[in-house]
Amino acid sequence: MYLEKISLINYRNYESLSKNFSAQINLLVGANAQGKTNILEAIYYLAIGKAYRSARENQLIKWGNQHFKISGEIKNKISRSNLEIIFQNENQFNKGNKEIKINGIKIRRMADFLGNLTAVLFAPEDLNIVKGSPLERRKLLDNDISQVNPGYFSQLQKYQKILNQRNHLLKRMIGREKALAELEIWNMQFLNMCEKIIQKRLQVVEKLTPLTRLMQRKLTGGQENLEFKYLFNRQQEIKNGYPIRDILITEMEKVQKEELLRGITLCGPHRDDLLFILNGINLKSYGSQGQHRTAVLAIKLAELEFFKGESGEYPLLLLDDVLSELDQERRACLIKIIEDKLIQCFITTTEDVQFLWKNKKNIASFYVEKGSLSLLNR
Amino acid sequence: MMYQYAESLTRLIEQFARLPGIGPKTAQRLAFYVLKMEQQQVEAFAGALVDVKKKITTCPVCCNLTDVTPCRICQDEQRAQTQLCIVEDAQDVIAIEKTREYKGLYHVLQGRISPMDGKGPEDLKIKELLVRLQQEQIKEVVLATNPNIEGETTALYLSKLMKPLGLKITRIAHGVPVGGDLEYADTATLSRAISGRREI
Repeated sequence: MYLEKISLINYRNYESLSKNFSAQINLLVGANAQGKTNILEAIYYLAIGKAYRSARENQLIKWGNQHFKISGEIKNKISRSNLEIIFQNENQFNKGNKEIKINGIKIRRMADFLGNLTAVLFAPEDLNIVKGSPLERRKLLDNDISQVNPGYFSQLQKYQKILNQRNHLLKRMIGREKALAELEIWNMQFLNMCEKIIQKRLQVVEKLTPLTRLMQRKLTGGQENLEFKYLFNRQQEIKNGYPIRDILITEMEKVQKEELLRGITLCGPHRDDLLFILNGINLKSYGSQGQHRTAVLAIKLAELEFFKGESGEYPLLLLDDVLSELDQERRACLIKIIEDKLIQCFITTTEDVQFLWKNKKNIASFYVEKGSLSLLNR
Repeated sequence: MMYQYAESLTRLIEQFARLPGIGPKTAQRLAFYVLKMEQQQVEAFAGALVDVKKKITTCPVCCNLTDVTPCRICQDEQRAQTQLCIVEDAQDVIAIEKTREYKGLYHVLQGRISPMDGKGPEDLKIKELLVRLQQEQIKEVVLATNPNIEGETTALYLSKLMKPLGLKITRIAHGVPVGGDLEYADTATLSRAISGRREI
């Protein structure tokens, strides 16, 4: 699948942009703070339905305007489609209004929008997948699964709502155990959603594990072995096929007393973690910066294969400023994979790196300056 | 001194602004519209407001809104006295009545379980419901709360509460809208419709 064309209106520093892209390599070259990453962000927005760098969507609107629009022409093996997101600011306190369209038809649910464009993003801050909080690793899983399994996105939304309701109830119950019968009902709803989400995550971890191991071996010449462990409630390792419901019930009983004291939910997918084990050792605590980076790259490349396995087509690969951070060997390995698999790729760099490719036929270089893109001569 | 609206006009604007979904600007527009209305029309409008508050009460039996006690549905002996449909709000009664499919009695909970809005079972008309189940000859209960998280929770809570009473308890079916095309149904509804399929 590839992105044939993108149009931006009032998005970040782009007032109005309309550009066609190469079906393979697209280099976005330019100095700092010219809007290279904003292009990647806009493309990724069409894939995951939200902005990955900013929690508040009204911050994405070009200063002084009230709305932004992203629209993309997607071409896959069998068809062509147009995806469109329009965000209208209502006032500075309000969340605003998001409208999503496929081929000009308004879509009510985000779950029906996702999956039409799949993309894997690799940005400098992705080192946090290894180094950062468990939230980053859950986000990795959740974003991936939502793209190939839109039902999962609805389930996450529903889970969040039940979690909110349950937390409110627990807070109200602090000091008085009157509403236990009501809590029991919320627990039933909660348990059902927990089970579905954890099950799905475990299935995906199971699929990602061999793919990542393979990529890590490729990148390190067979020296390093990378594995995943899914940690339930940050401590107990669980795998696909485990009796998740029973494990959840046991844990919920165990923490209930403390939940009633503290007024928050203390187990569930919002507290799980994913552990990276490199040659038998916890990567987060003992790995070097370089090992972290290689591991993240291996995960990203594994994601490409995962998407291909799930949807039958390679996703877009968005590389934000990462080529400069990899050593020669790893860079060559990455470039070979992109070339061999004919993946559409968007790469931001501060200087033109066309020389890295042997075959320059399918490379389009764009010069990015102050919110405009111009095609460079080859 | 800054010029302001006359006191009576300000008061009217403030009253309109209290209504749900109406901000200061709309309130102002409505108030000015009232000024343009005929005297007779304004009086009819004011009368309707006072009247509705004076005449509409809650039915002591089913907790629906009514102008007679008990309400017309509770009084109607033609209706199946053994069937009871439980809904969240008075509007839901009207929606179901419009179908002319259901011929039993109703019970209006006046809300749903939602801790986020500070509403628990004790805030709903559940006590009244239990009294009815004891005193009347109800054999089947239809849970017609909304098919969202809060409505689902309320239905689950009630079904658990009523289970020991040995009644037939049913939940309204969820699925694709009639007269629509499958391709336009959203995934959540469709997957629910498939898991809740029936033999024909």
